[in-house]
Amino acid sequence: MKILKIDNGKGFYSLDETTWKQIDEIDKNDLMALLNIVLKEDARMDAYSSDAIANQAHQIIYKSIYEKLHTLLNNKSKFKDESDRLYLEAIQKYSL
Amino acid sequence: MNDMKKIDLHIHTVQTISDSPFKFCINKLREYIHTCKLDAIAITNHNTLDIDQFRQISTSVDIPVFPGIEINIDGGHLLLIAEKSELSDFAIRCSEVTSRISAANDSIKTSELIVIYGDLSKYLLIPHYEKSPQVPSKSLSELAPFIDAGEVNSPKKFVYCLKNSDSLSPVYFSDCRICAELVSYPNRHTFINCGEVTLNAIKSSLRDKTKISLSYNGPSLIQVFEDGQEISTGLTVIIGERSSGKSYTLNRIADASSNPKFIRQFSLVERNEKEDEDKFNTILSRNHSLFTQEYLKEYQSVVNEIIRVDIDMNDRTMSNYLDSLKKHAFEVEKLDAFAKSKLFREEEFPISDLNELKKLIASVQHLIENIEYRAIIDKHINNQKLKLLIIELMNEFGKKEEERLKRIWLNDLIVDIKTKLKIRTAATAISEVDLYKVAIDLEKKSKFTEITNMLRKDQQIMHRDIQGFKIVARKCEFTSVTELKSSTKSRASLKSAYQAYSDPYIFLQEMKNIDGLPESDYYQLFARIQYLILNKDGYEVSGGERSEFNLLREINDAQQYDILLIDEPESSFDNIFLKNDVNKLLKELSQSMPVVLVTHNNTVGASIMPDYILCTKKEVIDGNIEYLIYSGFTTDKTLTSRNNKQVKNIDVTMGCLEAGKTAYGERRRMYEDLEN
Repeated sequence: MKILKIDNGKGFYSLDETTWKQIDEIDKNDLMALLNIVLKEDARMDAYSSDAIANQAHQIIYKSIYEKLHTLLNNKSKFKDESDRLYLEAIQKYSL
Repeated sequence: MNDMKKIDLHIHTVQTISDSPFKFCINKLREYIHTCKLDAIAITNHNTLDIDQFRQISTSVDIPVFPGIEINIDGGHLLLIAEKSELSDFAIRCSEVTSRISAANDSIKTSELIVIYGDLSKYLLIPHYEKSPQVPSKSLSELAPFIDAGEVNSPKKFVYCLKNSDSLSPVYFSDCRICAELVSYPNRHTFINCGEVTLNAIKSSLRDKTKISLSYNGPSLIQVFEDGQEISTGLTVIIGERSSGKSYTLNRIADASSNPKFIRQFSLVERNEKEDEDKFNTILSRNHSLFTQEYLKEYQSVVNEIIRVDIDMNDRTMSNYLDSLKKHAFEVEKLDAFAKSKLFREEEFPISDLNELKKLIASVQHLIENIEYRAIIDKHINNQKLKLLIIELMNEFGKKEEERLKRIWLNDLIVDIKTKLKIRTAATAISEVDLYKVAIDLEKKSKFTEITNMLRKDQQIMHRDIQGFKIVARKCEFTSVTELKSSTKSRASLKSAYQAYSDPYIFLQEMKNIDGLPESDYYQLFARIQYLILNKDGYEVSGGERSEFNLLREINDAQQYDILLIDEPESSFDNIFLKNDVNKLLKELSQSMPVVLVTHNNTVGASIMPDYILCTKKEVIDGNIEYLIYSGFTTDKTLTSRNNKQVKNIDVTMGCLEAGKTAYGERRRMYEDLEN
């Protein structure tokens, strides 16, 4: 699922690949939703390019959010391992 | 049994660094020997022999006295006793021990002992055996050919060693300090069957277990009072009319015994049902606190970690990040040279903790090093490959650690430059947020909630059968603040926090706001571990059944003691319970330790079939009231007092337990009539 794209010199994000909002409209809840998509689904993003984004404000916001989500994407398997092992002994003991 | 000699070969007469202050009194020693009718003694002071004092003692008393010494050896104590004829030579050797022990905790080695005393077969050697401080088993093996007996500290251990073929012959001695302040004399003596009391005769008798006991009358009796009164090493029943001195006698036995378990009359009866029930439940929970702790161990780790998770703070950090990012972005036109520099908006490198990799390396190492399951592991995994794997993982760890350290160094540099740039510019700086941490904290919260809900599910988690009762442990929700409060010693109010009880994470945040509630108590407040006692039919016990359970628990607990004393259990319990449960348990217990029971009830006194009977009697002799104790084996036709008066066993037993022959006959006829 694509969550970040560059189109017509501007940066956009989407939570459902249907509705696209400009990157400068993003708020805390949407960023949280993007975070969940990156970790739990197959997220794709247009790589940041200063040439492709004309709007300077979009450049800064897109770059920052892209880099953060990209780092998270790279750590997805680590997150899964850590999450799967989280409190495993307790879950096994008390689920009996 | 005429050749039985009563001996005490462990007596202190000199205050040493190992003793509390006392001053030896020769008159007291004479009185002790006379009152307790001792046939031989040994003087055994800690790591010393005072030859002048020994000679004085020896000439002042009219029984054989042996010179001895109690030596600190390999951390334990050993009695080493010599022939009196060897006194001078023995004293020189003992002075060598004295010179080597300068502090209470010093000790010599067995090899030194052999060097100092030479031929050990000349001496009587008695190590502390079932008594503290024990001589270690390694030293016992080294000295085995020369050891004649082992010292014990209770009749229970004496009987155990006597019955156990692998144990040394036991001896039970006073180990007392003879001083003017000594009020009553100890009844800790050993009886040996030997003719003339010489060291060789004692040694020979001690090596034969059939020749040693705790009374003049064989191995099944113990002398408890100075006047020679005995009780059984098994089960003794004290009977007697009201006010004849039964409880008084039991109290005297308690005073004369080491480490007694005393269940007093009415001590287990409930007086206030609600109060006693609460007390009972508290005791039950306390007795099982180890189980609760063990059961909640993993949950405690989870709670300890969740305490550090702050989801609200993460939310605020995200908001700050976005607000500052947008503000900075829209100020772009106005950015000065400082704010325009790339490092101004550069983000710090994420730092991973490498914990997963560390755990993985530890797991592989475990597989390589495990010995217990080696064969199974080798069957499936080649050990050489495991070694290659750990080398590769460690190399990976080395690389990642290097990378991590570099990142930390770079982050420090970035932060330093950004700080300097921020000082020079008016532009908004972008706040930091670690999205990985935000995500993993949310995951922690979610799993914590899941685990807490599992823990709150009503379920039996343990059951144990004890003497016909069943102890059940259940986990469930707390249903009131009162229940919640019972799980913590803190007096802090939990009322407001309890309102958020249904949401574990919010409930935890509320607890954090309570002053006086220790963090270490939090994990016990999410779910209740409740203990119940169920009766034979599976229902919760009544007040009376609770008392029964308490009695059985107390009797079971007696195994930790050296003698059990019970005063009139029939005053609190019904006959069926006493006959079916208590009697059986007491009989079993009396196989391994002395049990003394006071009763005037036929169910207890007669049905239990004791080994020995003490019958207390109040008699008026020449206008004076005298309290006498008649005793004998259950099968004896007569019971005898210390002053040789006799009563018929059948008369006193029937009188005390059945209210006399006439009443017994009437009852028997009544039952026969009912049956017909």
